[in-house]
Amino acid sequence: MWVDLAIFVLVSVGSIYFYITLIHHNAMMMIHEVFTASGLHIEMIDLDIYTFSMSAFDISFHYNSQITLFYVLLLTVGLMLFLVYQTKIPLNLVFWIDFLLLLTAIFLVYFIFWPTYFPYNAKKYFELYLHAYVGFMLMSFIVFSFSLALTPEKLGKKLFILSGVIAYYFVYSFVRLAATLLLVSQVSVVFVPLMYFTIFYDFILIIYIYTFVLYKNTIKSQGLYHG
Amino acid sequence: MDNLILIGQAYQIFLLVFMSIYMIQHFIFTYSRLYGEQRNYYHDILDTEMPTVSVVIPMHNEELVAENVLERLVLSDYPKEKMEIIPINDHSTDRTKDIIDTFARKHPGVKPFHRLKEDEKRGKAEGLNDVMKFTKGDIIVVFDADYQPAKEAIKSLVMGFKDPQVGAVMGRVLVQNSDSNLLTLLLDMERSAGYQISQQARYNMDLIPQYGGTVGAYRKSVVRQMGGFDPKVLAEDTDLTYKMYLNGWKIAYANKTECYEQMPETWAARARQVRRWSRGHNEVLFHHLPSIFTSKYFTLREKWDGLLLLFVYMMPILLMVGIADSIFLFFMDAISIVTSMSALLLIMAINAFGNFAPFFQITIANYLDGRTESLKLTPMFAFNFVLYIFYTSRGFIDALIDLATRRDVDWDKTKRHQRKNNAK
Repeated sequence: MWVDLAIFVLVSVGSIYFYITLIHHNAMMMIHEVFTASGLHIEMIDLDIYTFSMSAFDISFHYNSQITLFYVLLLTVGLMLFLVYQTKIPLNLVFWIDFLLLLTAIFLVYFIFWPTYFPYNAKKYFELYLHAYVGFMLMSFIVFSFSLALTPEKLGKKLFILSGVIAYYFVYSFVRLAATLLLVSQVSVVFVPLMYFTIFYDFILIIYIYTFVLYKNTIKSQGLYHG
Repeated sequence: MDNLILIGQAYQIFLLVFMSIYMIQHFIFTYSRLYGEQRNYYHDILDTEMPTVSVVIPMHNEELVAENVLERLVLSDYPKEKMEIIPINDHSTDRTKDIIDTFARKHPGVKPFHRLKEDEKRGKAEGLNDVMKFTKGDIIVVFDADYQPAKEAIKSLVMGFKDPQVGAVMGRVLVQNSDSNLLTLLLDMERSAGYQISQQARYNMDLIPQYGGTVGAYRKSVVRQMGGFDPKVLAEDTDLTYKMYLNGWKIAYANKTECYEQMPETWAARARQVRRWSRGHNEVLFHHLPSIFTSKYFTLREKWDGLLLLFVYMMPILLMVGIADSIFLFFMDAISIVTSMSALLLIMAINAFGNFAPFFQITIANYLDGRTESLKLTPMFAFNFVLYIFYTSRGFIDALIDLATRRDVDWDKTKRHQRKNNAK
């Protein structure tokens, strides 16, 4: 088990290094080319992420009028209350959705009353975002490595699963980043904190993959193993 | 403002360290259960010299389940001449009294005890204290009314007392109504993580397996010597766990002594249950925290585990403060490199405390139990996270108010459902 764990952690750390130094930059260049071909001329910026150089785009955030934000706030609070008083959706999901809505409401209140105090521009925000996302990926891979090392399965298969998860996260990170770029520049600045604070939800995927692996393993070993 | 930011940043680091400790602890537990040396309970002891036993079943308005549990208990293989069964009717206002009286007329070993006086306070601790004054058994075995003990359960639990260090014994609780809905299925999986891994690993590693207040037994003389159960504490089981260790006794865990219980079938009922557990557990935290540091009986590893166990229901409120703190730091532009990972605390939170066990522990526990289909449901636990931290935090606040006001605590019983008898 410990050998497996050492290999998985090495693979995780190595893949993150590979992501920071090579994959991310190439992906940003590709996205930049797509933007340019579409007639959008957005400058690229260099960021300092854990002492490594990574790139993002120099966009400006879309600030909505206060009255618009106020209406959205009313809608958000209304939805929260509706969820509390309805009886169809289970309480655990109500709390989960209401938590997201509460975060949104807090951010809306901030941008209604103190938009001029918002301390972020594109460079500062994406530095923060990428710190968090790279850290999130590394942490996820390591937690997954520990979980996978515990699993009674062949090393090769476990390594294959870990590689698959890493590959998926790399691709997904660009989809998420592109979505963040669009939302904060085209829809609303409210998405700036929202996209930062919802990063952790992606971890549910890791849990699903892990449980599916054990599920398959249990089917194979059913009747042979009892704790 | 600068000082406030500094405190906020320090808090994030403190929380990260604290959460990591719990995560590592649960990893070690899971590892111990999968690959470590397993400590066997006393199942293999063959002895005819069994002690006298009083089996007590606290009941308050248990008309739906009272007869089931008594039927199971009279089938026990424990020597009849050494056992008495005492259902405690604790101010029931439904048909509980009639049911147990009728049952007792048919079975001489069943001796109902009615607590009906108006000046008596209702409560599990009060009932257990009263019953200890007249019971004949050296060992008290406790089952809740919705439990369905197997016929060998009492003998198996009592066998643990052959070890002179053991002051209390705890068996394993299984969920009877796991097939009712998604909630009960998830609770079944959660219970599995708690017993199959946490309890057994604690037993393996000479830590502190918890006495759970049901499917458990204790030495009457020891509990009386310790002053009985404290009626001001809602979690009399956790209280007993710490009292045992503070007085130099150990708790044994019998993983194969299984018993079925009913779990809440609605989220609202589950939320109330979590709040009650948190309140009771935190009351014990306030009562026993200083004693753990000074006790001469706790080994170093027991102290460590005892403290982590005590703080477990305090973590959710610390997390809620942590979330608010990270939002504050975000808008103050004060999330530095270390604290920029503060959102990641939530990953750990989701895995370590939203459900009282990390996802890998739940999954491995159910793997050990041979469950297949339900394994795929593990990601669903992530959606319970917010509900759990909210109600556990409310329980913590309740306990704080209890501490400040010394008010009486009321038992909010989980609603029962009548079901077919499916015990072994």
